[in-house]
Amino acid sequence: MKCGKVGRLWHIFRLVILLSAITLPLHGCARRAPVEGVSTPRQEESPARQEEAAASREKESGAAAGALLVSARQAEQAGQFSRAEMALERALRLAPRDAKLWREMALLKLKQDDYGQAEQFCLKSNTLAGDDRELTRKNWVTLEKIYARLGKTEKVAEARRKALASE
Amino acid sequence: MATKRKTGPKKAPRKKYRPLRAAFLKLTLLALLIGTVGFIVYGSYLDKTIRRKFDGKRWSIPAVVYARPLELYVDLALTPETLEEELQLGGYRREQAAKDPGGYERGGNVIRLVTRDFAFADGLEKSAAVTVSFSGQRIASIKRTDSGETLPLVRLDPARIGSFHPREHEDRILLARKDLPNLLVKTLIAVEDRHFYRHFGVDPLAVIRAMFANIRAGETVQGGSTLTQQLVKNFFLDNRRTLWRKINEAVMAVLLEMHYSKDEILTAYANEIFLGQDGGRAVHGFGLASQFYFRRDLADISPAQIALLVGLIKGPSYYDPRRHVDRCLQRRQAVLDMMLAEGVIDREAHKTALAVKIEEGDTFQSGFNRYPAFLALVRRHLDRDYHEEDLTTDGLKILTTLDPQVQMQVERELSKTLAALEKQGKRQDLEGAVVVSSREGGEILAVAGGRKPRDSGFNRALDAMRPIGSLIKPAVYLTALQNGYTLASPVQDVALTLDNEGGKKWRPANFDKKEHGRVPLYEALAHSYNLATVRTGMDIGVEKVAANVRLLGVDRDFPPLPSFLLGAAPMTPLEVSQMYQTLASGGFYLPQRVIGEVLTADNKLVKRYGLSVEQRFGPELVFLLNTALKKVVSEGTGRGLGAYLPDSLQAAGKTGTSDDLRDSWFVGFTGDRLGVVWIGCDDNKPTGLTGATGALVAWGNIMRSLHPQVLELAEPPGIEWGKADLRGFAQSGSEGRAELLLPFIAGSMPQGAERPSASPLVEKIEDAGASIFNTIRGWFR
Repeated sequence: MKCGKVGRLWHIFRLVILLSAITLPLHGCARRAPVEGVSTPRQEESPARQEEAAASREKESGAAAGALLVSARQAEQAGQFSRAEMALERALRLAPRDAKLWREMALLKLKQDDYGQAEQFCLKSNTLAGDDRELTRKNWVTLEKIYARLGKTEKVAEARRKALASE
Repeated sequence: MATKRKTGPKKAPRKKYRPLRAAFLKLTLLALLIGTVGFIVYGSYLDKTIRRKFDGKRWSIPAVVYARPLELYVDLALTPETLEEELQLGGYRREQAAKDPGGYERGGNVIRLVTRDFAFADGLEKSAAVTVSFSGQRIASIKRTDSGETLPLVRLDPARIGSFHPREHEDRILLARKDLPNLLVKTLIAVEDRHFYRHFGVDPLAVIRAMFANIRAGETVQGGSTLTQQLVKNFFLDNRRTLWRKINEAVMAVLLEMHYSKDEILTAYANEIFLGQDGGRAVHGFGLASQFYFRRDLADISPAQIALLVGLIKGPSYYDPRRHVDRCLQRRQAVLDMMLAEGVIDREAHKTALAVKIEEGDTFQSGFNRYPAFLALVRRHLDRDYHEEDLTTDGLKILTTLDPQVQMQVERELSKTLAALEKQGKRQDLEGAVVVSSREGGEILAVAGGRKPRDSGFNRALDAMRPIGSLIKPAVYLTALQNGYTLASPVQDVALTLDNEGGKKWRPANFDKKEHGRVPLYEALAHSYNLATVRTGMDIGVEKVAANVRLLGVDRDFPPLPSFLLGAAPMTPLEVSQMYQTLASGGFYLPQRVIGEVLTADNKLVKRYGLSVEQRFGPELVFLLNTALKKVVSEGTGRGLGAYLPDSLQAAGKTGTSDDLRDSWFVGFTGDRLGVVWIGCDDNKPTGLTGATGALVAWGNIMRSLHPQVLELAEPPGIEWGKADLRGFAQSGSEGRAELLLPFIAGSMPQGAERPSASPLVEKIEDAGASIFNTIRGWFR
């Protein structure tokens, strides 16, 4: 009988552990940013980034590409770079001439230490940036960093000059 | 010895008898031995054969190829008709009220559909019921059908467009035992093999019963074959009704039963049984048959439909529900009766099923293996990374970039244009090839390898190496711009003689056999003047041009002969496409892609072919060149495009014609797409067509059908505009030369050029709304 009681207690204890194991991640989910495909920017994003996202959403690429940009960033934050790239490529398919999306691609490559492609995507973004001097400046600042990492001193100076010129 | 001799006579009679009996015994034994050994050898041979077949079949799952998924979002240029066409291609079925995945309903400008689950490389896209409304050839809104919630974006499950199966012209959707609906299994057993779970491969009772039935009827009305025997028969696809074959079948059936469980055999049967013919493709297995006849997954079909499929086993073409509706209906009712008699369904279900009509023959051909030219290209890309075996056995999922809408228009317009050209001209056997790609992504959207799109023969887009003629000129002038020339630089269109290959003299001429004198560079390109091009090319050096062709993306060495400057360089349409891709994307080399991702059968990402870019030419240079390529269309050899597309589209392009009018080329790009068209004859005889009278027409027709976007060139920093002083140039047909504003790389503007007072950005930052309006207006021209 005693043994049975202990067994039952053990059973209840196990249930509690199990239940909390199940519900804990749920709490996590509830706090987490909206599901993929919904175009609300994440809480922890910096205001500048939010602004950038909003601008590219409304002006150039529309809500659809914006939604994809959001899910790309979510994947990136979760360290899922391949997924983030796929989402960005989808966005680029819808808005292929959106210079901001190309920059986003560059940043994503930079995060993965792919300096070669990061450089190329920055250059691509610049050819599409048009009158957006702020975007051009940001791209040159990023390029300056990239060239510094690659030890291309001449190009570092050139990138710095161009960044200043775009201010 | 003596004793032996003594005993000898006594045994004499026996001695006479014994050798005979012994010989007989020996012979019998030998025969038995040989028989047994033979039987064992033959049996084990059969055993090996059948096991190899069974195991091979079980594990060889072909790679399945998918089109790109259609993304629906507000403002997308799409008509309800086009969406319906796309849904049909993807195997969706039109219904009164769409409620199950894979169904849609249409009411005027509204389409309701329920997408199917699809595992993409970035995760599972869940089935969703959405309502899409259209207005003015665009999507006006997308909402969830149940809640009315607005959705920014919906990704449809992509259409299956082909598979790589070891045996060609065959395809299957492989199902596991758990995927077989219970009702199907019970019906199968009731109709085809009542003792399936009890017999050992053959069912003697059934054979006897069938024999009596057949004798009574005077013909074969019933078969005594078990499911296992039928499976064996299907494995070897031999319809000879010989006794020997029957015995072999029976033996192999018993052997199969010894090695495999009933469920394994049943599953193999359900995947293997022949159930119809879809053009050149044999329909094997219930999974594919269900898609083929009903556009539904097997799990979703009704009892009446199950009865129909099981009824088909007896004779898929004799009972074809599309060609012999009455016969098929009779057979189905008979199956339903058997289902009732065997207790598979109850009276109620039986009654309901009997009342169901046979659905109208769906004549629309599915997208399966419909695009052999595109699939050939996919195959070529895959062959770089995979072995034949991986592709035909592992059930890989290959997600490609094929855009079915573009592909359909390309096929339609190419064959229409060729037919129209033949009516005008002498040649009756024109052929053509087309490659269309996305301008900034380098994704190949459509490929036509000839005028008959279902032909899987010679793929001209990939394999026809033809001289590209004037298509080389942009490479010549790009090199010139790189080496100090400007768009306003004077070039001499005057005759000359050069040494070509083997010391032969070469005297190039213009198409109109005239000289045009001193002309500005952009005009030489726009009007495709040969003499000016050769002179310019010789001035900068043929080697430099050849090196730039390589940089543009044509991975081949060309001998740097003067005739190279006029396109005496054979290339395939695909190579031309890659070359111009670099120009269309503003100087960035993008390796063209046909495959996005490769997934395993259980949806794990194996390989991704991501977007990558590499700047090969300065954006300023390419901006200048592309401005000149726009002039080709607005006032040069490509101005005939005005008959097909509105001027407001501002497309850029280039015509190409080879010697004696053997090859007619046109390459061009709009805001969203790059297209290459080649027209010629397989025997390489003259076609009587120039680039402008042949390929350009097809290009115009294709692009017109695709709602093209306006081509706006992004002006890089460091560009200055000016009116060059063109007074010293030869007279030309070119109007408004004096007023013409040309772009120059900062600091390169020629002396005497006049800077405009206001920036000429009107063209560039054209109001987006207006350009959309222009596009729409253009469709009605």
